Amino acid sequence: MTALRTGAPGDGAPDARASDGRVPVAPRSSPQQVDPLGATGARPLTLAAGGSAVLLGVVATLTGADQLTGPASAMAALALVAAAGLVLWLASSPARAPFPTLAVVAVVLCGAAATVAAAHATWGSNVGVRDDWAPFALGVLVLGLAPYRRAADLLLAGAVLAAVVGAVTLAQAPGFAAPVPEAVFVVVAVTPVLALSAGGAVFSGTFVRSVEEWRDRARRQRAETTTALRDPLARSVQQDRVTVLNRDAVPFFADLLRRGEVAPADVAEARRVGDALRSTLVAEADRSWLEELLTSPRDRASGRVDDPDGAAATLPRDRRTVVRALLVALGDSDVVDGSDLHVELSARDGRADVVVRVPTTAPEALVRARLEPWSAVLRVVFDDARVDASGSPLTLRFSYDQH
Amino acid sequence: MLLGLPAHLAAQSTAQAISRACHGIAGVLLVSVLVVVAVIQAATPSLLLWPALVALLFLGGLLVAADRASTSTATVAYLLVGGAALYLYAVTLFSQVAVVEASDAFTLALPKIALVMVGGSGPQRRHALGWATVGLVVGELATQLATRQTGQESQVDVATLLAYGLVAVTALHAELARDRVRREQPTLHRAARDEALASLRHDLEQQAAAHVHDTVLNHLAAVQAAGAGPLRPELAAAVRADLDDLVGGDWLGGQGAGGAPSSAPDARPADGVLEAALDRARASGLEVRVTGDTAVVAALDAARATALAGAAGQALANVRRHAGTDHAEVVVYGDGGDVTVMVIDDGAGFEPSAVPEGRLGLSGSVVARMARVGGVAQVWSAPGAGTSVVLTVPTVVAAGERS
Repeated sequence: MTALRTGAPGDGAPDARASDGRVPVAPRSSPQQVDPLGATGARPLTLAAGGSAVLLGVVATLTGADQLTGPASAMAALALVAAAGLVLWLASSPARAPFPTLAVVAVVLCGAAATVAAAHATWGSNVGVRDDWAPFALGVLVLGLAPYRRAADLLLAGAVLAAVVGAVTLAQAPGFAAPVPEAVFVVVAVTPVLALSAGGAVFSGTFVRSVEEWRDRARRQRAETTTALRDPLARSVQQDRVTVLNRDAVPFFADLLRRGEVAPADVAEARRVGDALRSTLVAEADRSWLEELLTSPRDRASGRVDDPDGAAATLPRDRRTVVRALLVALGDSDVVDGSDLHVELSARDGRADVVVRVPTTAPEALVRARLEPWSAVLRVVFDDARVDASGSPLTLRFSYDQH
Repeated sequence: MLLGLPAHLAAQSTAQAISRACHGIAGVLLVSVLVVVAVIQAATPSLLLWPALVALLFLGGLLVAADRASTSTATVAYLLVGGAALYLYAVTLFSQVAVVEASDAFTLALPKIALVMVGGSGPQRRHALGWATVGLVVGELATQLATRQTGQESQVDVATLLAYGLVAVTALHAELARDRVRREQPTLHRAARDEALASLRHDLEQQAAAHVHDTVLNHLAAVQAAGAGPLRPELAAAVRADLDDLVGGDWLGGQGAGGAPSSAPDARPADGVLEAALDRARASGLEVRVTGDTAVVAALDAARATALAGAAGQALANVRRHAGTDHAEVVVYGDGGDVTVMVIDDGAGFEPSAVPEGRLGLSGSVVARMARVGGVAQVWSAPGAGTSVVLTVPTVVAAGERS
């Protein structure tokens, strides 16, 4: 025996926690996840954070050259901070969104190693902690993570780095000149790391909360709008249907009712009208939202859809929005030919693969720059999304679970 | 899914997040310096540091108030009264020369930076840079005054200037970058709206298809089945009634089964719709035996009850047309959370995976109808082994189901 089963797939499941109107105290998302375009826009600041961490190190090392006992260690410390800044820059690329956890670990490890190296460079000759540059550099690096990671991640990174800074300071404390308890040195040393990490965490948390609050309001408003539009939409659909019926079925029945008699030819005609009507209904029922989008005259995006398994219907509705937006954007774009889109869907083992191809009409660098924000948006929703802009056609690939 | 914020809200949310991040940084700095002063006081009880501690606590209280109240008044109070507190703090500190020597720049810079990190509370949130400048000036005035009064030498405070630079760069970037990447944002939000409307339209079209199927296609099938001869009066009456309704009536808008949640004003318990569907099946010549209480359907709202009755009626119509039997059994039961109707026959059966192309009955009329109201249709069948159709509808709308 075989079973056929259906339900209402994918209706708002990922956003379920916001549907009860409450916003969680500790956001489970990062600013980049709730606003990928905003995070892409923050990238210059990320570069500035990495750059200023290195600059801080270079300037402090040069001005404190008289305290230097291990120049090699000093160079190593600067190289490690530069490495952390580089990881920060690379991992914040829209093509790598969402910011990988491994990159956070790399930044923290490089930062911790830089702290140890910087301490080694002035070992024995360091007179006080307040001119040590490493804690400031580490704090700025953690701050640079703020647009891409959750508040909890930033606090954890800050705490780990503060622990390293604290331990290194404690080890150096006997050599410090000031006659105060060791605890004071530790507090002085860890404060920049903790303060800047806390600032980053507050930014991340506050931003995510405000986006979620807005999203909640917008969702409620949209539900109301949709309800209000139901009646006009229903009338339009009904009118479409009546137009189809008026073509064959209504004249046929009217004639039949007038005569009160079924002639042999009427039986054949009933079959013909029925078959025609049924095939119209089936064709409409089978037409996916994707085909509808690419054939609708309302949007400039057009082209063909290859979807032999009907996979388009299994794409959850919230992610559909993003694909729809992407296709509409490609349709409006002046760097690709959005009237010649080719969308291919194939399903295997409960997963659907999507390939979007579109001929480009501009140099590769321009295409890449224009589509960069979409790369971030796609990758936040589909974690395996790949954009290949080398040559024409431009190819976008992603896949999703069909549930 | 809604991703990101509209441009005007994004600027506001970013400014708010930056402002609160500043408060977070200021908070950590004040706690740090409080700990440092407290530790020194504990280590050297002869020092007179309690006024400094009081000043810091006062400053902290003002910061919390400015963060909570988020008004310009609270911000001005933080800057002015906070400036006075800073003066008291600095005078106390400078009068204990040995301590200042120990960690001069640091203990003095932290509360000053806390003033720079005033954020941009209130309606002038976007002018965070202006507030920070005022904070810088007030802090500098307070400490210079204290320096003069206690006969100390004034020093250039690099840390405070760097902190000011951090706020300046962040605030300026937030102001300048906000519209650059966001040009894609309207596309994302428009797609979310279009998606909601497209899915509503799709629901309505399916509903319309099911209705046309149940009426016009059924009548056409009846004409074919009856063959040539006089038109049966009951068929003529049914055709006339349905045509009048289809062409002249408001059959789609009135069903209320689209996106309307159960709390909509038109939601009312629908008694008798299932009995009516069973009566229609009996009138078509099928012997229907019912087990269970059909009144449990009253627990459903009109949309769900109508969809359930329509699907059950269609399942019975399929029995009459395809099963080669004139007996069907209907089992109705409700378990508090769900209402279930089973339509069972011991007729010809079929292979569900091999339904011929061009048939709408099962997918459109039964399965889709149930899916639209959040229900499930399961069809169990095999050639020669009869067919069981199990229709289940929840009595309450699941949270977020129709968002």
